[in-house]
Amino acid sequence: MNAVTLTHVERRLGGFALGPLSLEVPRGAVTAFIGPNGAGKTTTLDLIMGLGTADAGGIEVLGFSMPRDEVAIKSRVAYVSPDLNYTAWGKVGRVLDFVRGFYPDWNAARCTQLMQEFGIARGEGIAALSFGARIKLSLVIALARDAELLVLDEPTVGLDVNARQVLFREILDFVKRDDRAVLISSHQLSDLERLADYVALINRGKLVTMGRMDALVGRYVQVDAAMANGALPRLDGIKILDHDGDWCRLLLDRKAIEPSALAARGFTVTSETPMTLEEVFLALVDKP
Amino acid sequence: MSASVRRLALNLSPWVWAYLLFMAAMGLLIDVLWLGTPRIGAVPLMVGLFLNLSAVHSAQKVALWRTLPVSQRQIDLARWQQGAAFPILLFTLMMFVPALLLALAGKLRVAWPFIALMTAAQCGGGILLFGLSVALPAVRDRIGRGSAIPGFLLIFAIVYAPRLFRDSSLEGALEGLAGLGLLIAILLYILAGRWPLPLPVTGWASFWSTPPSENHPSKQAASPGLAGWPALVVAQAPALLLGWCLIPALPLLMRWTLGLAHMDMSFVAASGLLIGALLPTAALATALRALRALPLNAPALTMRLMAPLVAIQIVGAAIYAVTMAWLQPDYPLATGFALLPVAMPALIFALTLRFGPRIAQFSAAIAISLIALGNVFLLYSGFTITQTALLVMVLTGLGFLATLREIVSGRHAYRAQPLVPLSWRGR
Repeated sequence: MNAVTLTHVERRLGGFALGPLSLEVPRGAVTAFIGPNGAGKTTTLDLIMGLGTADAGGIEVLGFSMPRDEVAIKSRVAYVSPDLNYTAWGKVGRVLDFVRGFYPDWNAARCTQLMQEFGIARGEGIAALSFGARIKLSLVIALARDAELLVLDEPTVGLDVNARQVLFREILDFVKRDDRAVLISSHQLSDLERLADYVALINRGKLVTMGRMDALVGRYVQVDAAMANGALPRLDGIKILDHDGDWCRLLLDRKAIEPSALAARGFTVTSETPMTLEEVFLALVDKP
Repeated sequence: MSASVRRLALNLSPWVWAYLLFMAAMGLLIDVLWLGTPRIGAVPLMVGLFLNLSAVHSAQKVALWRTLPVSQRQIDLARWQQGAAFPILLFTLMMFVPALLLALAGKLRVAWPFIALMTAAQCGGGILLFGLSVALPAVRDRIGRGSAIPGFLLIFAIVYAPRLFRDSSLEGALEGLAGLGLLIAILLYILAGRWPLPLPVTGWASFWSTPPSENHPSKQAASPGLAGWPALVVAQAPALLLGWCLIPALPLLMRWTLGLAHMDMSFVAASGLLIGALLPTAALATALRALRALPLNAPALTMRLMAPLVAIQIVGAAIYAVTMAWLQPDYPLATGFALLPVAMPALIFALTLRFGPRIAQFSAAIAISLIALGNVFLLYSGFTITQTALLVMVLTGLGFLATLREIVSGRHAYRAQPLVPLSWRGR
């Protein structure tokens, strides 16, 4: 059973329309949820967390239906977002004391350990915390419990290198258990490429692609080729990234066409370059 | 009440508890005065207003509450406990405990049925206002930023109720208020789980949160081609116009709705005068980090921030003087109400930079208190209009210097940021 299953979810917010979006987040894995600004990542995560209601479609989280089972879902899901603001509580300790009352699985020792690792103290005033320290506080609150699903919306914003390393270590520890899952949205694609097992790419409210990280990155290849007759190839699975005279740079979807097939069509392949997640992202997402 | 609802309902910060204690002490004093001197009319109704404000403070916390394992109904029920149940309990205790003590001492001057009626009316007034704060976001989404005006009118209506009902049936009015409050409390309880989210920013700053209906690209005004400070002034124009319009509108509406034809409206109009500049003041103070990045030195930046704010208030003061001369020619112009607001933006700006966004949140309450007390001081001291103008210039200058000091070396000046995001997630 998947940790999260979205089925034809739709949500309209002002001029923005999300979906219809279908998405599966498997258990025992880290799923990266990526896309350009305004693509609908945060809206999707909000719907998973019950912050707003979908106009259409179904949302199933850990076997429960959102919004019908929102309390059951929220008691099993830990959520981190830079938008969470704790200023009203004044002190770090007060927020922690308040939140822990809602979770029977709250682990005080683990909370203390995380606070030490992230370098924040109970007596600190929240208004005086740096932006990164506020994110760390969100992470402490999320990780000090025995949650089944971590929903992390831009958790690395403002974090220093040390804190990022602590976070990644915690995430990897978290998914060692097969019944747990992590859904993480971030623009730090190089981090995600190393961390995530699956990736879902969204653009303009629509899912562009989803699959295993290695399969997605391996599926696409960048090819530089010389054109025999000066005509650009117009084939399924080929995206023209750049061209100049007889030279062209192509993105090949190996699922549709292998680089070797280009030779049969009169192209001389001069180089094949494996792609990073960031390059795949840039190639698949249309420039605004 | 479930454990979750109780936890949410009791999740008040120490400073809110302190505020509640202060207000409760004030309320207790008013109640005791009334119990011993009932001829002061319906003044205890003001107690209902004081304590209602506590419910508003939870708005900042709802963003986190929504991520906790509680349902929307539980969140609304917690807000109901704070806004309806808790005040009912407190008002009853604050009225009946001193009444009992006064009765034992033989100094009780009010009949028990009337005490019960006044307590019920206190609760009704508080719940009425709470109901308004619950409904306001939905109204705001439909009619935009001016939706808080009905709230102001209601506050003034309840504040002025003693004068309104002085010569008519006070009992009837109290019964009506109590009944209406009870009805609203029941309605709110039944509808818990379907309440709109509270305004993301409490107090006067809520004017600044753009309603979702205005976020749609088609609703956004085209750029008039202005750049720099003029563009900023134009961006603030709706709030300025609202404030200036309120100067004559508030007293006029008060007269129309309550029929208070012969009452001095100087203070009511002055509150409209304050609004015009306080809104941009709060917005600019919380945006100081961005403003400081502009290629200006500290004195130049301070001058460019202060000058338009003071100018706005001078225009407002002129509108105030004309309005008062036209509306109530028989009353002398209250120079304190007319001129003291000119100094408020500079003072509030400096205080916000020094003590943080809570000052901006309560800027109106602070400014209204200052001008009310200041006006009394000026009246009793016999200040002439020239002396008052000089005092205002000195206060403005002090505000300017304090702001400059905070911009140059303030520890917290660049940390002043909105208490909560200006829009809710998932809306």
